[in-house]
Amino acid sequence: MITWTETIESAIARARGGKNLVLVDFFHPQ
Amino acid sequence: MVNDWFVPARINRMEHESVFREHRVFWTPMVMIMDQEGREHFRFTGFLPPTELCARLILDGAKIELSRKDFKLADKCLREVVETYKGTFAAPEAVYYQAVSHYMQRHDASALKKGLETLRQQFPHSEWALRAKPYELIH
Repeated sequence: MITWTETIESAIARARGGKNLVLVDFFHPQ
Repeated sequence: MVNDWFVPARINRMEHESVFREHRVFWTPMVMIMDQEGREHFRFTGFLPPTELCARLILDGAKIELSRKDFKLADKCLREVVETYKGTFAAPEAVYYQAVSHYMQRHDASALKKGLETLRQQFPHSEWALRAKPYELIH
């Protein structure tokens, strides 16, 4: 189960908590 | 591995048009890989089925680790792409970077030529066999 974050900044903040990378999915809703 | 390694964010164009402009995203779907400092390392456009997506993410992560000189993690990831995701489009590029990693660690240019030979044997029609062509001049 993937827990998506809503902003790039919050994803970066979570990534800084561990040795993680950030994946940003830019999408256009259908 | 992907879930443990990547923190995912989804950016909806209808809600965050300014973020699209800030990052010069003009087409979707587009996936961007950043480090924990917010630096963009890679981006790719278009749909990928799950297996291809996993292989691509692990490969791009491995390349970031190579740039950080974390060879242990980079080699582990490259090996996973080559062995577990052998049939994906990412596999030839992973073979290429396995050779690069070997060279970066040991300064042994024969590793690059060996990588070319592997690419020609296993992925002769891949773009990466072409990109490695100059290594045939190594003696």
